[in-house]
Amino acid sequence: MGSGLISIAVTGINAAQLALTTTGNNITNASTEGYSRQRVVQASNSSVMTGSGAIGEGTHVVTIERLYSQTLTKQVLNAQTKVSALDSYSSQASQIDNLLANSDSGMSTSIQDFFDSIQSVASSPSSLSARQTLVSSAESLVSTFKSLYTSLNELKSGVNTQITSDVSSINSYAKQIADLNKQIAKTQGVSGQSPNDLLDQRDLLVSKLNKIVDVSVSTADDGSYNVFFGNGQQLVVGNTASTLSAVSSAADPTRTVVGIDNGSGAVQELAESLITGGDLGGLMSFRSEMLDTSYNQLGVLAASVVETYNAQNSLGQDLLGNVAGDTDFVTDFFTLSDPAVIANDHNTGTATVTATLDPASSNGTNFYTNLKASDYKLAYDGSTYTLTRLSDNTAWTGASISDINAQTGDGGTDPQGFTLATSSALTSGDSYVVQPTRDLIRGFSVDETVSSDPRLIAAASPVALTGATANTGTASVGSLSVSSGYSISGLGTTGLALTYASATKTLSGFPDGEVVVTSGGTSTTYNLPTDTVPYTSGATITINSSDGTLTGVSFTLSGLPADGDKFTLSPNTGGTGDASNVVLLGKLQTQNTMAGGTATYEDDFAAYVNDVGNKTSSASTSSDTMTSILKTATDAQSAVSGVNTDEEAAKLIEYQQAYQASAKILEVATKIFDTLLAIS
Amino acid sequence: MRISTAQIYSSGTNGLLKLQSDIYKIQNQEATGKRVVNPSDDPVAAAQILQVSQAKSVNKLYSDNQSTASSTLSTLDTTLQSVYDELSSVYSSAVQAGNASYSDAQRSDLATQLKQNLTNLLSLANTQDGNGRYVFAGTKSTTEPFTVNTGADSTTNYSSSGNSYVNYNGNDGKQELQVGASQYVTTNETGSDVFMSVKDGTGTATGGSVFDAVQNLVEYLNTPGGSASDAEYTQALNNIQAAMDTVSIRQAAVGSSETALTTMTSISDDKKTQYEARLSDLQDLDLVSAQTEVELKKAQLTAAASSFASTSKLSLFDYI
Repeated sequence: MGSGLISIAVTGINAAQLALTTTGNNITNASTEGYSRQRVVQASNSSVMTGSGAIGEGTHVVTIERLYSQTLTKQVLNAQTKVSALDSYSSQASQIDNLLANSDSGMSTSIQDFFDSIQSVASSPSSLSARQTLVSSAESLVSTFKSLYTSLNELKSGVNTQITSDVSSINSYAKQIADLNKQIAKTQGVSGQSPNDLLDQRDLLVSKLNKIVDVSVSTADDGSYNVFFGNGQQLVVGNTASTLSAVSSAADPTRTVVGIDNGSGAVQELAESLITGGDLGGLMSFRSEMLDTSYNQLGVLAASVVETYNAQNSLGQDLLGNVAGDTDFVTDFFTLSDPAVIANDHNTGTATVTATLDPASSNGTNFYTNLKASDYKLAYDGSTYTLTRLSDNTAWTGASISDINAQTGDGGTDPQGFTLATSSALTSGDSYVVQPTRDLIRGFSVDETVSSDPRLIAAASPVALTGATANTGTASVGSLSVSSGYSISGLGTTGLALTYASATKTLSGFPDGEVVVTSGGTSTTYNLPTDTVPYTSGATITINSSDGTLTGVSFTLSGLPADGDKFTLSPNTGGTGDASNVVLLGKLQTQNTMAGGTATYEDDFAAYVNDVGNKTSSASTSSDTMTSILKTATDAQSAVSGVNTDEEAAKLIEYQQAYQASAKILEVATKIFDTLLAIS
Repeated sequence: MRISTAQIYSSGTNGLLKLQSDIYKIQNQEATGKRVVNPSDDPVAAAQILQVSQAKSVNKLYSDNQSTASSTLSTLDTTLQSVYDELSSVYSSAVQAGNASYSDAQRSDLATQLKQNLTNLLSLANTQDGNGRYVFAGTKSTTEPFTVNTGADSTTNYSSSGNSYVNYNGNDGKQELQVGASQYVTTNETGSDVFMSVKDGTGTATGGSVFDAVQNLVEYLNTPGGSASDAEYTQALNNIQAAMDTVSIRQAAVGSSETALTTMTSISDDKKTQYEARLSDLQDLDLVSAQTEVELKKAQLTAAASSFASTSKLSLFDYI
């Protein structure tokens, strides 16, 4: 009897001790990351049946239970991976946002300073100091572009490094999860009890992995976790983990992408779009949505400034009297790197593809470029060439590269601002990434010759039209211009004298060929020597001689000439005070020089800034929203699994009292036993 | 709902951190005085700021060109006035020469005086600006525009058809400055318009230059026995008059350009004010409401901190 009571007391003491241990463990792990609170599950021992009925045999602890909800944990994981992705996107985005924030030393200011200094040359074209200022501000414009470009390069290599380190973390977590799977299966198999701490550790690892890339988890029969990512790629199955690697993309070696071992030792590249969620997913979308765009946007802007400026510059005459065609004339004030074309690593053919920027187009009013801020892909399937614009997947097809160029090249039906060329026929299945604008800024500079001698800036017009001093009429010379590819060698040094005849109201003296007279928007072509050219006050007269020595020259005369009045079209010898061409250069600032003649430099840049601002602010807004969803999920999870020390303190008292009460039973049992001993 | 102890701490500190970051952001805006610091602060305004800033800068550029043009034109006006004054002096000497009582010697003295006027005129015609550029050379501004024709025949009348007294080495080039989106102002008068192509009151060219007119008068006065009724005298006198008319017509053209510039300058100034107001609307911070917000956040921060401090102090362990 007494021994029964003693053993009951002992079961109570043991149970209370276990409960106290568990409570103590909870208290000490209150701030342990990933810890789920535990509690003892107690049950009564089976009773002994006697004639007097069932006699209780005390208590025992069935198990130490881990308070854990799979559903709530999944909710946290889902929210967490999105928050991590948005945070990593947002922190990268804000770096570009910051690059564009400083309005005093930014792109806008540099462009404005450049055009201010163009105006200084316009107001005193022969001033060397004004010309030097123009060169300096052009150089500072170049360095603004380059410093932004360098910052983008830093971001790009930062992204590459981060991808590499994320991939190595993924591998490490996957390996640890696989190891834990093994231990958990083993422990459960042996004891039949759940290894709570190992489960917590494994869930913590999944949660850390999930912060890097979105993973989905399923539980196998033996309690192992199978972990997948992307569109079902296996990362952990049972106790084996796949190995990911950070590799250079076959299409573009400067891009680090994620590769997965395909089982036979070869690494297969995973498409960037497959990787979503987590830090890695955030980096991938930042790179494709913002970084690539920024490179191309800046490239397009630089290329447009360069192409349009160079085109107008080449129509001028420098302070030394050099014009296009002269040895010392500098046609290209700015130079740029050539567009890049990268052959895919998997190509089997040896053909190389090159791309060149097209010169600026002209709509008669101003020069403009057709470049778009995108990369392109050229592919050949054995019969058809396909050029795809990657930003919107617009595609052009043709039987040859020249068929493609006829559409997208210079003067094409849908010009994209660059022209392709191949060294030999492409091999079927080969592809190339064409980056017309991405890295142009690398070689952006002001021509060395001009920067060391600013007299070579082509501020003046190459031709002059002068009325003879003996003229008695009132006609005066209006505007004078030349168009791309003009030729004035036919003027010689003496020039071409045009004479007015009042009887026929005609001008004579034109060389054989075409003379186009444009008045009130109507152009009429006169073929010389057959036709005669009528004089109309204010009309624009364009000369294109048939021998090609005097072409692309236009001028206007206004007023009433007298019979025999002479006007001499001549090289602008000594025209040091002429600012005709630099005035046209200055106008580029407010003309529609970009996007096929629809936007100014500033419009384009403002649209880019707006885009960056939008993406940055929406990433940060989404991150705020997602964070509050995460908080709700975490709170719910914590309500189940988190340790509350006050609660544990109460339990401590409860179990302490249970212990004391059981001990009291023992004392009573002892006393009963002593009583019995005293009797005997 | 159960709250875990870790949750009490983390949500308490997160709340405080969020408030502190909000206050930091407003303080940063107050320090710069700008509402839009990064493009992400207001993407639409950020883009508009760039465009309005450019419009303002371009307007300033036009405005700077207007004042450059004004000052150039005003100097040109003064120079043309000097030319006119010189010609007036020539004209009064010429009228004086018509006095029938003048002896050949007296007329020769007048010729000497006119020769001096002619030298002055030539020097005015070769006026250089502060940077050494010839004002009346068209765009050939580093070429001396007027040189005496050493090959001229002094025995016949000087005229521009083959026997100029002075050659023009400049051109008809106009120096233009952009003073508006589509407005240009010519800041020079060419030597051929002012000096070489003298036109009479009806706009008909006399076929000679200002210098030819004066030199022809000098030649006439140096020829003994002339009289006021000579056709040559009348012609010379008319030509001087025509030269004065030509100069004053050019001067009037310069004057009207100056007037136009004054109007443009006042328009540019108005635009500048408008652009500044627009920029201020777009980017400046409303200090009063910013400060109000800071105060509000500060109050929240104080309340949150004090409630966190007091609740986190509560523990059952203190009582057992």
